[in-house]
Amino acid sequence: MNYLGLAAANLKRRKWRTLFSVIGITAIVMAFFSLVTFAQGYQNALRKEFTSLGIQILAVPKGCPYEMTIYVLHGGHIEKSLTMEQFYKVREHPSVSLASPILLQKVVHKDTHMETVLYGVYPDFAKLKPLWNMEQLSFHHEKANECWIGSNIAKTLSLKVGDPLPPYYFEQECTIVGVLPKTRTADDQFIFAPLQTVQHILGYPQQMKAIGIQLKEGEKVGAVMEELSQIPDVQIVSYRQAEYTLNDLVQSTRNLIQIAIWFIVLMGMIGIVNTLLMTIEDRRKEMGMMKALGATSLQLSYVVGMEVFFIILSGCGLGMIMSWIFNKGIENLLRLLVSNAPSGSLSYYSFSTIVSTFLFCIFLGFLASIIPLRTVRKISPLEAIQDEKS
Amino acid sequence: MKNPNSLILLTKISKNYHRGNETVHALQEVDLSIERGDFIAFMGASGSGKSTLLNVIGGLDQCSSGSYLLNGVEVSKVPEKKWIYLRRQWFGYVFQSFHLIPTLTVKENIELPLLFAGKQKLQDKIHNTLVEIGLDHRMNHLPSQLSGGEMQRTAIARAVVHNPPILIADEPTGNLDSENATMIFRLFQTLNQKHNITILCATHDPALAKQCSRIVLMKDGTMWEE
Repeated sequence: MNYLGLAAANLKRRKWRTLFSVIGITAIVMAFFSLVTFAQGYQNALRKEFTSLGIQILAVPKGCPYEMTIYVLHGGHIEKSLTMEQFYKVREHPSVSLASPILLQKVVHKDTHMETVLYGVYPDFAKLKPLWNMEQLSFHHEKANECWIGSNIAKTLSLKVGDPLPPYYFEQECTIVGVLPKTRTADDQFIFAPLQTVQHILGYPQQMKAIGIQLKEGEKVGAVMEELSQIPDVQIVSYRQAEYTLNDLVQSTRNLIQIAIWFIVLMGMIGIVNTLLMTIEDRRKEMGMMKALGATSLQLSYVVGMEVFFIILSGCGLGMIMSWIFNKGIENLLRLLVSNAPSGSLSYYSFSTIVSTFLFCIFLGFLASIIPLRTVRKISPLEAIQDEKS
Repeated sequence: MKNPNSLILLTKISKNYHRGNETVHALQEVDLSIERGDFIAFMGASGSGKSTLLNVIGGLDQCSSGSYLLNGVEVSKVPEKKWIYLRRQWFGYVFQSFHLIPTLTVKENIELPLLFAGKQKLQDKIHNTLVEIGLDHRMNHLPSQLSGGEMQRTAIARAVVHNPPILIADEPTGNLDSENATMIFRLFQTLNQKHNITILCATHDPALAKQCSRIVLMKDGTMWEE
């Protein structure tokens, strides 16, 4: 027999208590691990979404440029519009390599009430999308009743190229001329049609809600943005600015989640300390007897410490596994808490997140052991025989 | 007559403790000399101080005043941390309620003092002790599978496995029937005679006490008669 055997025997003695202690730690670790993976995952997902937008600069009507950027990414109703004159001015700027008008609005499937966004674009809009990887995408003419659809819509409604898009979303039938590859971004849910067709469907003749801009190689983004800002009633925002601002916007929500999680951690810690103290109180006589048999406080602390770390590390491993298994549910919960969260996975698992969670657990173990180990140190061998004769 | 070369020499040992505002004099100026190989029965009514005296001798409790020489070394003021090592070297303990660890087998319970002393590799020693105590066939049983007598024999094996010169037994037969009590005392006699272990045993049973080489009668914290 060794100290590990002694610790294992103690843990086995109260199986349910040990199990509930492990479950407590598992819950704490799930919360902590989800937060850590979310912090990194949100940033990555947002970056991926902006990359999928495929533009360097976005021209939007005057207002809150970041809110409009979100609408361009996820769909939404933008009150103000840009005109074709403003679009031509942007397109004619010598530093602009590609300017693509974007008209968009949320539309709802009449039967399933599934929401999607109808985009009006020029065919060269496809060139902005690095994840589409489809050079053959085109419309037959500017007013064609044709559309490209995202992979999720195609899958959900069992549609393929050549099928008509049933007039469920809007009062006009469109022929599907392209199904976009799966990008794991919001694009998978969207419908793209020629600008003029969408202008007609939505009742916005000669108007658009944003202009996606790509610059020629070597052009300085800041300088071009400055010059484009001179166009009346047009606001220019770079995607990097938008990304940073959106990250800052969710920071307060993230802080709130963090406070909630630290609260859970604190409550869990109190629970663990309480359980450990109960375990030690139960074995007070036994520990007194062990001290009478020659055990030092350090040796008994070693045994109790092993029990603590068994509970903590089992909970740590289980918590990480559970967080990974229930990733989807946790993500949905986070999406409820963080409005306009980017599509795609909000969790990012890496070696460093696993290591930091593991280190956090070890720290938790040390913290949870302080009071119980003090109690162990104070137990006197006399306690083995106290109450024996009462 | 005091012998300065005694294994244990107690001079004017007192032990007081407080119960609320009241001071209880558990031991009052006890003088006692114990020689190697003694088998002493401590007798007296409940509260007479026999257990307190054994606790002080065994280093489980400290005296309030007086001198305690253990093998010629003054130990009355030795702090608890150092007593751990004195206990390992000098004492084995047997309690009335056995205090076996319920999740460990007989063999594992016996192994505990060796584990704490860092001598757990002495498997032969464990086996020999089990044979001597007559529990080798029960070595893999849990305490819950043993009778009262077997549990106390296991506790005795645990107390002597590390070869202590002194065995302290505080009412070791208190929870046993007369047959098992006699068996335990016979075991004590064997240990005393065969291994020259000094045995200090508190008991209420005069018949068992008569089997010891000395009887110390305690009353109100003092040694009343020897």
